[in-house]
Parts: sequence; structure tokens; C-alpha cells
Amino acid sequence: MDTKNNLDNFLENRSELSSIRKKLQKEQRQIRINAFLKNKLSVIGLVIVVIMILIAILAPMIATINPADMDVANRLKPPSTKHWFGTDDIGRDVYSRVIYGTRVSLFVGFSVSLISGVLGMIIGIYSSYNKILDNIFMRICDGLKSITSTLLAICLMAVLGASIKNVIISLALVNIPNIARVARSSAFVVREQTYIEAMHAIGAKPSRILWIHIAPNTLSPVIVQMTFVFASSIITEAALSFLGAGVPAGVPSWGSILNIGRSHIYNAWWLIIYPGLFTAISVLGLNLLGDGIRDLLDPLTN
Amino acid sequence: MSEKIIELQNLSTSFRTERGLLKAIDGVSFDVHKGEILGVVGESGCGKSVTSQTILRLYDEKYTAVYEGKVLLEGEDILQIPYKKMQDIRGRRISMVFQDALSSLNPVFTVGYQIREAIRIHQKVSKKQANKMAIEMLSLVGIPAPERRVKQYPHELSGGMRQRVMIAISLACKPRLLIADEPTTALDVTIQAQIMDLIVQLNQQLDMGVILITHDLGVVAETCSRVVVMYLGQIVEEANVEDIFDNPKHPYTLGLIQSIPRLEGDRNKELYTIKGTVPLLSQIPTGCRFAKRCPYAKERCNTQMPDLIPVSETQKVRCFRYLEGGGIRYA
Repeated sequence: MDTKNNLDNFLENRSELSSIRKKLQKEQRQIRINAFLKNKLSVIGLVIVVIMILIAILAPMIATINPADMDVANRLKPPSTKHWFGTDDIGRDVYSRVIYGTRVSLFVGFSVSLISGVLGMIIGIYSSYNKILDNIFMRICDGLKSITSTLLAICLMAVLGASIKNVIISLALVNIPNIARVARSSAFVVREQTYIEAMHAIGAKPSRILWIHIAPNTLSPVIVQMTFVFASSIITEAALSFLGAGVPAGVPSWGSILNIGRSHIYNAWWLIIYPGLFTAISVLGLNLLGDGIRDLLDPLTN
Repeated sequence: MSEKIIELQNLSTSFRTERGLLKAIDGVSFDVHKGEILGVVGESGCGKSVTSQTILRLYDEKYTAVYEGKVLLEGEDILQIPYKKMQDIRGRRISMVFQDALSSLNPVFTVGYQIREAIRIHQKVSKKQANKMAIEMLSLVGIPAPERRVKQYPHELSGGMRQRVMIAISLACKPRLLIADEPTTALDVTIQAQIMDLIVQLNQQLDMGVILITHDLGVVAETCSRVVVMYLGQIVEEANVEDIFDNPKHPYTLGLIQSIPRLEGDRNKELYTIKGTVPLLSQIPTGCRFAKRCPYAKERCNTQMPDLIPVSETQKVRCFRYLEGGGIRYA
């Protein structure tokens, strides 16, 4: 009888325990979310980025006029109720062009950070394993880094020709060394951990250790670096388009609107202010978000 | 005598350094039989861990380590086989448990994933089957509610639990030999006892050989049947566990035993210590390596290296005192 009671008690306690566990897990998640929310700046960054993404996705709904529509009679008109941000030198609506430009900028930034993130990680992690290839890859990276990134991107664009695809390719090439270096250095740290040695000791192949065990452990610094690549490639894309080396003429992009505004800077300020503001705010937002993610993923900085 | 699982013959490991080749272990020979626990004891830096890592060839052979001698695994010299073939031996025929239980598991995968992985590297089984085997392994090493544990991450387990999981991983493929490299250093005393009991129990249950590397003589007395005492990369004494404690021959062994704090006797007496420190590998003395710290050292000890000589059927010792006259009992 006594033992039966004990057993009942035990089982009851166990179910209680599991409910406590669940509570603790929930609390843990809440703490992490709170830690992120407490950092006001990173929340601002997140809000900005989310708004930018929404603008990019909903561009056709938000824009008032087709960005390619010309209204030559109303060229270089200041902001009004019809043209919120005014019109450019051939009468296109600046507001709609800026909104559609968000699409181009975010698409370029996202693709570049994704492509250079994946390729940079592969190169960086493989370099940590193979000493000869490490030297070759890292010297190439040093070479690429020694040329100013905008200049290098302009050179690549001159070779490849103007198109969004080529902008992405050249910016990814420029940014791969940044990611590769971060991935390589954190792979070196992870490689010395006991669990990697233990994987050797149970007979795992080097490729398995490299890609399944080292790679995921290097992810967090790489993700942080990717957000910065995202931000910097938005700037570089704008710079390229401003110089006329970026997206082809006619495609609305913040940089190309600035390019048109350059020649009318004294009498049409709206051509410069609005796209410039959008570029600055979204880059600021991405950088704040990147800082927030870094603090969240790396407990040492707290 | 039961069959030998592993036999080390005159094994030496040197490391390439800026100061040239340094021999970390020098002429180590011992063997482990089926169902036996062999203790390897010695101070820090005496080559215990190097020996164990050499058996598994875990050092980078291209740039760092140079091996000499033989490691016979069930008669086959595994220092001679191609490096790639070592992957089939590691984890399947020889397994290792590391000293740092807290960082031996990959933080980004569940415990179950890591045991399944160890199984599926060596055996062709389905995921479901591997999961079943993983749960079995966890209950074998005495983890309660293993069905729940397989889904947890290492940070959700305590240190003792993690070391149990490590043992489960290393035993997943039923190896012939388990090398436990100070398996309890990072754990508190009660958990230490549990883990040692577990290793002894599994040793009998699975009938494998165990090399237990430790600097805790208490653990050795509890668990091992034979003991190898190492000093500066050499074996200085090899004997059955009873002889090590009741009839130690080498002055170093004697010093180690005298350094253990005792419950009985005068508590105010200062604890015995072996004088001096272990010399650096680059400054190994020419004669007997222990001569500088040995209370019995003579002229000869400083110039000549003694051999490991048998003093009885089961006991060998590296000391000149036993060349003439034999069996002097130190008091």
C-alpha cells in the first residue's frame, strides 16, 4: 500500500516536473526576447528593416503612379499633392521611383549578403582545414581587399556590363573576402574544441567534421557579418548607380535617382533629399539590427 | 591468460617544434587484455595523454608528430596502416572518453543526434533503428528517461550526465578497447565515483579492455587490475595493483603513494612531497630521468639510463637498485 502511494506520488511529481520545465523554457525564451527588446537601438533597427521590407514587397500598392510614366509637361515640379516627392527631369514621379527603388536596393543587398555569405563560409571553413588552399585563398582575399571595394566593383561592372544581375555578382565578389575571413577565424577557434577532437576519436571523416560540426558553430559571427554586408552593398549599389555604373538606365534605384538629381541640385532639391534619406535610414537600420544580433548571439559582449 | 587486445611495443612519439624534435614519450611498452582495466598514472606532463592519443593516431602526422615503434591492435600494427583506415578503427575498435566532459559534446546538436551519428558512421542502420540504439545506449549508461534525453541539447544536462553521454557515444559501436583519459577530472566527487563504477561495470558487461589514464591513485586502487607508472615519457614501473600499493619498487611510485593524504596517523605532520618539478622536455637529463629528484640517487644514476627490468613475474621497474641484490624494501 505504502509503495503504491509512493509510486503515485512519484508519478504526480514527474508530471509536475515536466510542467515546471515547460514554464522554465518559456521563461528562458521570454528573457532572450526581453534582452533584445531592452536594447532600444536594435529594436529601432528591426522596425526600420521591417518597414523597408514591407515597402519593397507592397511597392505596387504604395506607389501612386507608374514609376516609368513620363509627364513632360510637369518636369522638375516640386513636391505637391499629386507628386508627393516632386517629379524628375522627364516628369516621372519621384515618390513612386523611390518606393520601387527600395525593391532594387533590398533585392541587391539581400542577394549579395546571401551569396557572399554562403560562398565566403565555404571558402573560409575549407581554408581552416587545408593549409595549402588556405594560403592561396587568403592571399587572393588580401589582394581583393587591398583594392577599394567601390573601385573594384566599378571595374567589375565595366567588364560585365550594366544589369542588376551583374551588380549582384560584382558586389558578391567584393564582399566574399570579408565573410571568408570571419568564417575562417571562428572555424580555427571551434576546431580546437574538445568536441571536435572527440569527433575525430569516434572515427568521423574530416569532411563530416568540417561541414556538419564546425560549420554550424561558426554561423553566429557570419550572420552578424552578413547584416553588415547587406548594409554596405546597399550603399555601394547606390554609389554604382549614381556613377552610372550600376543598374541600367530606366530601372528605378536610389542611386540612379540621385544621379539625375546631380545636375539639378541647385533647383530641384527633392531629387537628392528623398532617395538619400531612404538610403541613409535603411543602412542605419541594418547596422543597428546587426549590432543587436551580435549582442544577442554573443553573450560575452553583455 | 586471456587474449591481448592491444600491445604497445617500444612506442615513441616526438613532436616537431622550433627547438627541433622533442620526444614526449620514449620506448613505452605495455599491453591490455580482454576484460582488464589497466591504470596509467603519473604527474602532469609525463606523457599519459600523448600515449593515448598516439594509440588513436590523433596527432597531425604531416606537421607535428613522428611515431616510432609498434601499436598492435589484435595483432595488426595500426601505426603502419594508411591514415584513412584509422577512421574505421576509431570509434569502432578503439574509443576514447575525454577529460573535459563539459565541452566534449557539440552544443548545436541534440544528444540523440550525436549518439546516432556515432552509430551511423560505422554501421549501416536506418535513422529509426539508430535512434532505438541511442536510447538503449543511454539507458545502459544509467541515464533515466532516455526517450526524453535524446531530444535534449548538451547544455540541458549536468556534467555527470554529459560524461555519461560521452561514454554512451564511445561505446555505441561496442569497441574492443576504451581509453578513458582522466574521465572524472571535471566532475565532483560523488559523480566521479558513479562514473568510475559505471566504467568498471561496463568493462565487465561488454568484456572490453580499458586503459584508464588518471593521476588519482585512489581511483586506481578501486578499479584497476594492473598499473603502469609513467615519468617523463617513460614507464618507470609496471605491476599488479596490489604490488603497486603494498610493494612499490621505484622511488617515484613510492613518492606518489607517500604523497596521498591519509585519514589515520598524525594530522599535523606535513604531507610528503616529491622534491623538485618535472623537467622540461628539452632539458631531459642524460642518466636516469628521475635522478635529480630521487632521494636514493647515486653517481651512476646521473650518467646512465637504467632499463626496465623484471623483478618478479608481474612486476617491472626502471631502477639500478634492483640490478644488484634485487628486492630492497624502502621504508
